[in-house]
Amino acid sequence: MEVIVRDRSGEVAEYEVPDLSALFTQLSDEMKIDALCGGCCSCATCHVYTDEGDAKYLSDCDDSERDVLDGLLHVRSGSRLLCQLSLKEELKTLKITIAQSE
Amino acid sequence: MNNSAMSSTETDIELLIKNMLSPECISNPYPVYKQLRSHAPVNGLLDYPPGTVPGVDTPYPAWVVTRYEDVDYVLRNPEIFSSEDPMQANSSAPSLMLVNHDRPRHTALRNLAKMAFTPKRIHDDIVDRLRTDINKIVDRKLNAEMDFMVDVAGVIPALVMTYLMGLPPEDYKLLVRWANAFMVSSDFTPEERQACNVELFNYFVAAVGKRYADIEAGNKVSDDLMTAFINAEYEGDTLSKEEVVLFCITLVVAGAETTTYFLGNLMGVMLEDAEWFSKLKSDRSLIRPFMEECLRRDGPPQRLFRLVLQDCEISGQAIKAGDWIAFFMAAANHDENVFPEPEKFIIGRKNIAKHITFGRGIHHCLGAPLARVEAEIMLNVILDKCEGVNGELANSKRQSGGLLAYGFATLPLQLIAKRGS
Repeated sequence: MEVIVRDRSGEVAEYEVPDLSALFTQLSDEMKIDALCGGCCSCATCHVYTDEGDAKYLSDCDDSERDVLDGLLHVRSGSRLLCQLSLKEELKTLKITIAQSE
Repeated sequence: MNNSAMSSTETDIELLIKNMLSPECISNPYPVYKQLRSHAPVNGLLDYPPGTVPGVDTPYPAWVVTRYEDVDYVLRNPEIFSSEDPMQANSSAPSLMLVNHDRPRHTALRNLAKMAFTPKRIHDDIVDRLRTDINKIVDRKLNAEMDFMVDVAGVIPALVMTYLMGLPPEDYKLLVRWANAFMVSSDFTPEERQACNVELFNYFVAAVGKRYADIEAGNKVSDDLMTAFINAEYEGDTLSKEEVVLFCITLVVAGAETTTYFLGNLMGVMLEDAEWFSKLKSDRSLIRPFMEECLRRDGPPQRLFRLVLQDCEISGQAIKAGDWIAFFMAAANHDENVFPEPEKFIIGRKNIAKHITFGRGIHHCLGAPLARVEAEIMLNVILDKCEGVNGELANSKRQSGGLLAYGFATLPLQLIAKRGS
């Protein structure tokens, strides 16, 4: 799948990845996200904004992810934790914006 | 390499490990870490985990892990490296919540605790109150000669603990003393250390007991962390009264002393190069990168321990199940393969987010946002009120009581008030 990522400096880059878990690893390697907890739904350093129109293609936000998001200052509609995100329906191109750090 | 050279190298390394607990090494361990990083893990460090008492408890020999890649491997593989601490469990110390738990209990406990440390809760409950208090603390000492560690850095984190748990603010002094004794990085006699562990435990048994009684009696209680721990429920799981006590103790010992050293180390950098003060004062956006580089180069927590659960290899060295390892985040943060010119203070390093002062993986520090907020508010208040800092690093002294933390025991300085204030 293709993902268009806007990073914290406003730069936009395209990624071709097999799934969103691979994107999490790649953005962490590129230091675009901190991924401090390594993807265990705890530190919120992989907070991203997704487009509302894409919601139906994305995995549901469970209680654990919702709890973490509720504790953030910069949460808004479309907020997700990238470490918890997967596709439930095929999607050719996804757009995400990396949220500012807390 | 011939045999005699080999044996001399081995002896040197053994000596190096043996001398790691010397006051000279504790007050400046980085040259020793540099030498150790040129080796695979070496066995034989006899060191003391938090809460244990030198002279009373007997340390197990630990493998010393110092390279970035190796420390990262340990942090990322909790199924191989357990956080259970048999030495602490056999000591008089209260055991720490989360820090000394493995999955699955760790996951349940973390889910209960992480709600307490959300950026929103920190912002709503702490920021304004802390800014007011730091203004008062700094005002009292403007233009005066002071020991920054006693008068400012030692006060802020312990005060925050009193806000978080709804304790009387004046009790911050008790918290400072107990945290220092627990963290094995100050000069206490074994008897004093043990007495502090008992006092700390009894204090929270009483405070938590009273809170439970108030809740049961239907009295109004403050909406703080202690109440949150008591009421916390996650998927039907709750904390027992003893676990609430231990959570409170964990917060105090994990959050008070390390943050105090962090606040002191920030001011240490300003004394090292007076230009930082004017740079930060004129461009506050530099505060965060300044703090992060200080966390990397001078991060207080030096090392943690793990119990090895399965035979494994670290940098080619075979390590057996049942072995004990000490891994040094501070040594990894100075690994020149990851951070070039590691001894230099360079803000804006591209990979600064890779420092592991707060750990990584399931045991990453839940209090990291809190430590950063305390530091940021302190720096902003000082930059608002002052036009400079006077002091000589030569008059300061690094703590040399234990290898757990890198920080100042004393840091004499003067905050110079802005003209007209």
